Order: sequence, then structure tokens, then C-alpha cells
Amino acid sequence: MSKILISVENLNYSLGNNNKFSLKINKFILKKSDSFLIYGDSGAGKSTFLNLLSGTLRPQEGAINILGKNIVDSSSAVKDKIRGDHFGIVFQTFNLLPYITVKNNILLGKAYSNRKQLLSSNDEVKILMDKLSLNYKDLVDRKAYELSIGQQQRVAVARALIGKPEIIIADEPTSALDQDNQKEFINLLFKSLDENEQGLIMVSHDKKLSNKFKIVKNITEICEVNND
Amino acid sequence: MIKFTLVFQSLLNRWLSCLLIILTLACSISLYFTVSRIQESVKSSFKNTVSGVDSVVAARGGNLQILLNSVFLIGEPSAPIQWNTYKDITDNKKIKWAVPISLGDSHKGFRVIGTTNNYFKEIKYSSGKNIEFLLGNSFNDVFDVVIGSVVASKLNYDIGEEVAITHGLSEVGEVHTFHSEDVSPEEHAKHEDHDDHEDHAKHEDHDDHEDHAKHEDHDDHEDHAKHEEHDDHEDHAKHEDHDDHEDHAKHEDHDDHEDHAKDDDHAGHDHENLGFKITGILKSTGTPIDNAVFVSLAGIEAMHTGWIGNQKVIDVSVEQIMKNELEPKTISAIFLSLNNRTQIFQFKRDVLNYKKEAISSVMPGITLSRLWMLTGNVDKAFKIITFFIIIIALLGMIAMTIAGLNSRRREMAILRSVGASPTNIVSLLLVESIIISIISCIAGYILMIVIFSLGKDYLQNNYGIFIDSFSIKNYDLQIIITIIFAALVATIVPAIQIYKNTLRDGLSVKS
Repeated sequence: MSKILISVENLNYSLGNNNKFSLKINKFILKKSDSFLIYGDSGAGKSTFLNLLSGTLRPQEGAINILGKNIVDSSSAVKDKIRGDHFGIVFQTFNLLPYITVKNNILLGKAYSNRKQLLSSNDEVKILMDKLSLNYKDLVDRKAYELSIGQQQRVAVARALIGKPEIIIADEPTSALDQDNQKEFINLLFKSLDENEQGLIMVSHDKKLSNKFKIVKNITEICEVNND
Repeated sequence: MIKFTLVFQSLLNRWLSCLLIILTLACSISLYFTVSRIQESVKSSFKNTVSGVDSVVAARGGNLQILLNSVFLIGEPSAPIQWNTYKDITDNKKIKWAVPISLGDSHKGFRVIGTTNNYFKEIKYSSGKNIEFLLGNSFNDVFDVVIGSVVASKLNYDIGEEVAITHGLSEVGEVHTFHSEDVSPEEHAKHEDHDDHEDHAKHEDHDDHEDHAKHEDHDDHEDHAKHEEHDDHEDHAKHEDHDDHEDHAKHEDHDDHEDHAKDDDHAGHDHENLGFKITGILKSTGTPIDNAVFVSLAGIEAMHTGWIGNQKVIDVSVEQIMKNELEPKTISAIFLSLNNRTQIFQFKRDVLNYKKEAISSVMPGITLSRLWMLTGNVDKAFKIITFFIIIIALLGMIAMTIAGLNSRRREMAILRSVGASPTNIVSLLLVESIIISIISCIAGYILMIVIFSLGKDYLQNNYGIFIDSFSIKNYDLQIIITIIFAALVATIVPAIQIYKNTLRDGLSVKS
């Protein structure tokens, strides 16, 4: 049995005092070499779910274990460190700081983590860019805003992967891409993952990209959302 | 390393607004630097100039005016005092040394100080430093000139160079020129006459003229001029109406002389020389001394021979001048030091009790401290204004940072996603502020150097303000540290904002 990266139990989160928005998770587990596709409509709690996992939201009840450590009652500094050390995160769009170079955008991924810096080799930027079909020579010193959206998303993947974090989270990374680019993106993402070490959670509003994922779940199967 | 790159690139990305903030900050900072330097320089230059002078005796008038004029060479000269007064005053047993000063002429905008060699011996600057000669030495001859270091460097003068002295303080005044004659034996006899007349003119004409000047009685003077032209004795009769023309013979003599000069037809006057020759150049003192041209009192007297008031009435040759006893009739002020400084108030009373002329004794130290009291408030007001300007610039910086925050929320979410804590993000903001304020301080400092490089001569020539050093002073460091600290404090507002934002947004990127 492979190692559990994330386990969530009996989690209860509500926003504000009047509980207008609340989210419940009975059980969620991400193991090493798992790849999750979680789909669902907007407002179904996908972003809240990811924010809870990555420690930027604090639930009122329950446990979130990241690599065996329950982060619910940890200080935000500890949670920031855990996120920095063990997570790689890709957003929907605008993942990059437009005014710095591609290289620096990728290096930013390990800037706040000693662990990632230790695990990352000097030529990791090139290795990742090669894996993600980004022309190193052409692009490495370009400013991020000069790249196409597709290239930017792949740079974002490189940033998420640098320093070999165990948990990769992708929040609708393909929504800004056209169909061909979406497929290519997913292919490259899986190609560059180290399946023996890493686990992937990707959320998306549809499940048409699901063929590569081991586990595909509707968000409603994981979370019970009350949104009055 | 990458974090620093991040800050720099982020600032570069917003270069226009940053540049504007840096400009406003730099301008206000340079204003502060400039004002403090001018204040300091004024004070030190004033303080340094009057070392060792216990009292300045001059015609009764405003103490400050006397001091500014005689010591700092600023403003119009005060009324003259009689040479006899100088003699009487220096008889006072309390006096250690006394140096007479005669002002009112200039050379290419630099003020001429008529004095004695004692000036270079006795006057000190910068708490007791002697005035030293860079080249040459003090006056030996009537027409010897000693110049200050700024005069020498500005006008590129060297020892032996001939210079002309201009009457009055403006650069366009009439130049004192001299004519030399080839005196033939026959003519010599005639000239004896001249000398007589000269003496006469000097002793009485001069006093007369002083009266004129004091009363601003120009009509009289014009009448006088008419006399010379018309040689009309009936006119003379009219003149008897005038009180101050007690001595008519004088006028006749005068006219005689004019005629005489005309008769001579300026035969031997073909060589008009500049008259004065540089014999000494002083070392730099950082005081108004550097901007002065020194001439012996005899030289001052020589160049005014033949002058009445502000007009040259008689052309007198060098030879004639030299035959006279060149003792001044009047001087502008006396610098003096007492044997015992505690006697200063007694001496002051002695001066006030002097019967023959209304004179007073000014104590440089006390007068200066009065001046500081007077200017102190202006100083403060200036500093407060510059401080407010700096605060306004800092407010501008806060406004810019806050305005930029919303568009940078995405940036913050990205940083959060890679593990940056809200504290990290706030510290990025603080580093930005520090960078902006440091750059502004440096730019302000450079701006200050530029301002002074451009305005140095103007300040020096017009206000006697010497800016010699641009080095960072203690008070500069204080203000730099204050500004950086204030910038940090100012950043607290946007920092709180961004802290809240990052907590609320988490990883969700808000557009």
C-alpha cells in the first residue's frame, strides 16, 4: 500500500458566523501516485476544498493530515511551510509573474522552501522545461508576459514541479486553453509527474479530460456543500 | 536572491509610478539637504570669519548692518568715520591691536578692502587660524594688491598682474585709472602749485564732500561742477549763499587747477595704466576673505585723489598722487582686539562717549547670536516646511502602494501558493519601501550636489555662502534614517491591507 499524502476526516468548514456557506467532508484520501480529477459546477466548493487542503483556510472541525501531520490546529506559519515544502500548485490562468523571466518564475516555486531547494538540482529548470516541451534556449530568459497562454500554463507546471513536492494541485489549469492545447497540456503534465513519488489533484468543471486520471470524482461525492 | 530580483522587477514593472514617487521624495530630500547645508554654511562662515575680533567700531548705525558690511562684505557700506577718530580710538589703552578697514570700491564684482598689513597679521579665522599667503606677500607699495583665493581662481590672476579698481560696488562702476606724466623741468614749477592745491583739495574738499554725501545735496555739487566749467566769478558770488562753501578760495584753486590741467593739454598723460599690481594671493579660508581684494589705505586714498563723491573731477597723475602724503581722510570701520576681553563693555562705553563723532562699538559674537535668534525662526520654519514636503511625498508613496495593491492581488496569491506567508509578503512590501526611500535619498543627495554645483558661485558671490563639502553629515544620516523609518511606518497601512487580502484570498486568484 502506497503512502498516504493527504487524508481528510470529518471536516466541517463554514464561512462567517451565520453559516451561509458550509462544507463538509467525511473522508478524502490522496495516496502517492494517485491522480484525482474532481469535477463539478462552479460554486460547488472546488476552490474552498483546495484552499482547505493547502492550508489557507481553517476548518472549524475535523482533521487534515498532510504527510501524516494534522495541520488544522497548526499556526499559519507552519501551514505556509508545509505548503511551500510539499505542494506544487497550478492555477486556472495568470499563474506567472509577468514581469520576471521564465527562469525566475520557475525558480520562484522553490524560493520559499528549503526542502525544495535541497531536492532541486541546478539544471532542474532545463529538465522540467524539456519535459514540458518548452524550448529552453528560446524561452528561459523571456519575460513571462511574452509567452502564449499555453506556454504560460506549462511554465506554471514547471514551477509547481520544481523541488519535487509530493502533492500537485491544479485548479482548472486547462480552462483557458483550446481543446488541442488542453490535451497536450494534460499529456505533458502526466509525462512530467514522477508517478512513484507524487500525487495529483486536479479540479475541473467538466470531466472530458478524465481518461488519464486514475480516480475521477464529482465534487459532490467528496464534499457536502450547503450554500444558502 | 530571487526574492530580491522579485522586488526589483516588481518595482521596475511599475517604473513610472515608482519614478514619480522617487522624484517627489528626492526633490523634498534634496530640499532638506540643501537648506541644512546653507544654514550650516552660513553659520560656520559667519562664525569663522570673526575669530579674534572683539569689537568693530564704525559710524553709529544698526549693529547688524555694521557687522554684515564690515566683516561679511554684505550690503551697502555704512557711513564713514574720520581718520582722526581712528587715531583717537587707538589711543585707548584697552586696545591690543586695531585694524582700519575702508570699503566702497570693487574689482570685477569682488569687494575691495582698504586696510593695513596688520590685517593679515591680526585677523584670524576659524577660531584662531592665521591668514596665510599662498603666493607673494603683503603690501610694500601704495599700489600693491593682495587677493583672496576665490578672486585669484575665478579671475585666474597671478602675482604681478595689473588690476583696475572700480569705484562703487557694482561691476559697471567707473574704473579708477591713473595717468603718468613725463614731467619736464619747466613744467615742474607749475606742478608745485598743483601739489598745494591737491593738499587743499584733500583736506577741505574732502570734508566738504562728506557733508555733501551725507546731505545728499547734489545741486550743490552740480553747481560746483558748473564752476569748474565756466570759471565764472559771478557764480561764485551766488555760492556764498550756500552754507557749506565756507572756503571760496578753494573753489578758485580748484578752477585754477582745472585750467591748468587743460593747459597742459594732457601732454604727458598718454599712458593710462591700471594702477594696481597683485603682490600677494591668500590661501583659502572659506570665509568672505577669499572673496576680497585687499589694497593698502594709501592705495585707497591714491585712487580717490581727484574724486569728489562718486565722480572723478580732477585727473591727477600718479606722480602727483605719490607726492602727496597718502593718509586717508576717512575709513569705514575699525576691527580691534582688547588686551582684556572683560573690558569690552567699558570700551563700548568709551566709544559711545567719544565726542567728536557718532560712533559705536559692535561686538561680533553678541550681534551674531542676535542674528541667529532672528534667523532661528526662519530656519525652523524652513525645516518644518521641508519636513512637511517629505511627509507629503511619503503620503504619495502610500497612495501609490495602495493603488497598486489590487492589481497585485494575483501576484500575492502566486507567492502564497509557493509557500510565502502573509508576513513574507508584507516584508516584500517593506523592502520595496526601503528601496524606494534609499534610492530617493541617493537621488536627493545627487540632486543637492547638482544644485550646489550650479549655484555655488552664485551663493558665494552674492551671499558669501561657501559650500565646500558635499560629504554626508551627521544630520544627513539622521534625516536619511528618519525617512527610511518613516517610509516603513508609512507602509504599515498598505501592509495591513495586503495582509488582510492574502488571508481572505488564500490561493483563489481574484482578478
